[in-house]
Amino acid sequence: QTNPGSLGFGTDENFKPTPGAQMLLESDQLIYDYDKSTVAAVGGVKIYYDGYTLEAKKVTYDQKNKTMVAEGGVKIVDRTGAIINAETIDITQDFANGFVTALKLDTPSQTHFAAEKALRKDGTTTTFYRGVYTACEPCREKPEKAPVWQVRAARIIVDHNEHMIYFRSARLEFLGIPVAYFPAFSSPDPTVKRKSGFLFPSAGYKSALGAFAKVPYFWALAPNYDLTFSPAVYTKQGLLLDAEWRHRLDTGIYTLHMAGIRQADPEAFVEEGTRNSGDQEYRGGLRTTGQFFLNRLWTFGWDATLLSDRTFTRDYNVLYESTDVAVSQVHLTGLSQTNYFDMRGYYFRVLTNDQGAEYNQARQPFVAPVADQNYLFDKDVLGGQLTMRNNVVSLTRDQTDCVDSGGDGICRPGDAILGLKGNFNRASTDWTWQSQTIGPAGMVLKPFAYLRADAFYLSQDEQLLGIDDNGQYYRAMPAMGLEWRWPILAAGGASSMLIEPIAQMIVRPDEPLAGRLPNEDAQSLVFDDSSLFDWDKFSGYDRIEGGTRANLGFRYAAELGALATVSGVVGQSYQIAGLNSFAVEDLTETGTVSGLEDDVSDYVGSMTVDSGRGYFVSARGRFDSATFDVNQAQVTATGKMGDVTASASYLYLREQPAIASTNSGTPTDTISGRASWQFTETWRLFGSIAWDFAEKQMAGNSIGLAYDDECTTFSIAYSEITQDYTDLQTSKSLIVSLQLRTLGGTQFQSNFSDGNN
Amino acid sequence: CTVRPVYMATTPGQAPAADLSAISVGDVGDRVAQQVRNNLVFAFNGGKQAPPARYDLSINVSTSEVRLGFEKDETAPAYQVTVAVKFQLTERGSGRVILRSSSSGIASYDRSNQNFANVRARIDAENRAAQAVADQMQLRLAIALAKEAKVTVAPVYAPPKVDAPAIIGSGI
Amino acid sequence: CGVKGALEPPPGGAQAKQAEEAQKTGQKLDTTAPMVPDRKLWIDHLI
Repeated sequence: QTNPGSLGFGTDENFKPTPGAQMLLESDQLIYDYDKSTVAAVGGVKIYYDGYTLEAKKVTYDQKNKTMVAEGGVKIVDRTGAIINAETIDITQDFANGFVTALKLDTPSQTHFAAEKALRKDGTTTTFYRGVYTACEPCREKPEKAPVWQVRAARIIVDHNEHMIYFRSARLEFLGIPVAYFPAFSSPDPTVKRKSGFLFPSAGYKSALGAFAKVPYFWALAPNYDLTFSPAVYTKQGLLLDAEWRHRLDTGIYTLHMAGIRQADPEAFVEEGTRNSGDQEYRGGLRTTGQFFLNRLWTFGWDATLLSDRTFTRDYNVLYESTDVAVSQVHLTGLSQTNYFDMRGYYFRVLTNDQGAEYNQARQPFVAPVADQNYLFDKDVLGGQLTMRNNVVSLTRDQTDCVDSGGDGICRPGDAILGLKGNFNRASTDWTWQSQTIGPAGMVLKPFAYLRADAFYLSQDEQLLGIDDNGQYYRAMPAMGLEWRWPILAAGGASSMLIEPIAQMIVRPDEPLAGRLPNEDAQSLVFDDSSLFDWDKFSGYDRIEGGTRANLGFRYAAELGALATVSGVVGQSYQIAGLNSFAVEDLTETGTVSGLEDDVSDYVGSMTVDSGRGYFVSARGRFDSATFDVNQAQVTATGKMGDVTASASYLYLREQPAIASTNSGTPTDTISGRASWQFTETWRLFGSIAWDFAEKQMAGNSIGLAYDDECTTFSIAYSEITQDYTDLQTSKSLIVSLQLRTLGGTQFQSNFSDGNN
Repeated sequence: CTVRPVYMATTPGQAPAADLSAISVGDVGDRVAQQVRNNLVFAFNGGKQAPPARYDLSINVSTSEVRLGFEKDETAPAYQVTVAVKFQLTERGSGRVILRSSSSGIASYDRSNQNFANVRARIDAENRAAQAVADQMQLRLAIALAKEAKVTVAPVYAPPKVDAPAIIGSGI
Repeated sequence: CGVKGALEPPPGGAQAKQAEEAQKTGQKLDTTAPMVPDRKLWIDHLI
């Protein structure tokens, strides 16, 4: 063992650091940990000191007990050229001294003060005369070049007790050019986490509202509750009041956010073809959210929104982001390691402003409650796993939601009905047993069986011909099946190819009351690679798959060395005996265009190419069993070529299902893409486009420019939605936003529509 | 190159090389992550009691949803749910990392004018995507363990690594 | 101007007391998220 004190380099006994030797340190990051008072250079650390070079992943200097440790692949070359490798090395005192002096110690969050004269008064305040404050790093090559922004002031007073910085007659300079003058302003230093005071204002213009400015004030009443007022003045509409209350208790947090306005010019919101929801004098809304822990397993929460009209939130962009529906819910949720319980209520407030009858509020259900339970019995039963799934739903609706194919507002027999007026109740339970054994030659055998039972209690007063929608109905579905898989791996050198043929057979009686019961939670049916090997392909409890069905296919996964991994599934499904549940015409016509309606289904396939170097393409499709025509295709791709990152998503549906309401039967053929080009280290150009091939027109686009470095983020973005792709009144918007790190940020937004007002 | 069934035992009667039942899966935080975990635990043990674990699998699950396409009334005809899992398989005891990677499962659902149907269709899509990612991970882990078994079964003679001179102190 | 920061645990509450004890013994209790009470509920049997 060497004597602790020397640098521990046995081969160079007479090491004495020459006094005043300069040390150069290079690393990705410098991390200050004030609690442990350590300074760490992290990531690709290189230190040159008096002829020695040290390389390591991390070098930590502990100021308290004066030790310095290099860790992670440490390599030291001493003056004599001897190379020493080690996992960690404790570099003693002399090396450490060099480390401290050479380090330009900055304030904790990389903010810099410079001044001609600085006066420190009894340790509480430091006053800089004719000083400059910035959060930008001085440019390494040309330190004298002005940083992106700086605040030049006659006096800058830093109060260490109050953690405040006061500027007297200050000028905000951009690239050396004075832009704004403040006689006096103060801002908390970055270590302050909560402080009452005005937050940064924002402004903008909207055609129906006029020009507006909003100045929020944050009032920190206590560490665990506060109020934020954000009044806004609109030249055409007047004063909007906005108050948000946040309160944290020991075991949870709840918020209450209210906003309201008395509009001076309500007619500004009248627009032909819409419900003119904004044309009223008093408008407002309230939103409350809450989330509480009941114990280690259980949480209780809510998110409820009450609005005066459909477009208040989007016109004044407060309270709620989405523009098609405001979902209010209250839930009780339990989660253990393997089991789950959730009881929830829903209220759907429609926000779409179009006049179509399908957007009537009365057509959406009020769900109180919907409860789910997944329970996995931990003891194995007959060598297999037993799981129980329960579901209860109770909902009411005031108006039947029928798809008006004639376009004249009258529901004719034969039109799809997505929801019946009245009260719908169902309780379901499902018991599943499954096991898996490795058979001969690596084959995987998976026997399974399940029993499903449902009880309906319906009082939906449409009394449609042939529909059981009034009274009590019961049904049960026993099923048995076997799944066989045989994954085979062909590996050679760096690449490998895996093929896993899969076959599945499920034997069941026919679906009872098929098509005669309402369908509330199993309306969507997407037949693709993810539902190919589902035992029951319906997406909810209201429909059960019946009859004997076989699913055949194979999974493939090829690893082409470092180039890419290509994987996917291909397959087909066959109704061997009994009633094909997907050929049944139920109220929502769920199976008709799914590709499963014939006894021999369409082909489904998927392919995902992941090159790991930034390229990721995932495509899935459904092809007609006879003609191979494409019935459905989804492609999403992301790529990175040099400085450009781009992503695109394409969707093709030959025929939309009935549940798409007014769009049912029409094709969808749309693509939307987004790209951003980082042309310098700090500047970035970005844009996006949405194109509708079916209508041969552009649905929307956006273009923008952004600058961000370690102390400033600035962006200017223009976006446009083509008029008939939105029921929004404003379809063009320009957003300019500027953030100065540690000082604050502001945003200017202007929306204008080429509509008639 | 060698062509072999993944789960075929190298010596008949013995547990297959890729014995997944010795993997214990870490805890998770939300419903979808629990679905992935339950699927994996069944894939490894086939519903039977698990033998003492020799490997630890930690999984980090994130669920995301994206609109596909667009319609005249601002709605989207379909939504695509992706369940992405970052996972790491380590050997218990030595803590050696055997496989550290990420897989993702994708499932989509058609949008209905009825919002309750959409909420339930999303849950079904999440379950399908969770099953898809569990199936993918099962195979990748089996292949990784099969490679492991090959290495320990017939170790190739590797010259001992030259250590740094003992005089260098290691650590404080 | 003000700083709208995250909410802190209620002073004098159970979580704040726990944080103080942790402080005395030198470790640091993470109080960014609310506290999870450690108690049994009859609904625990459901899962």
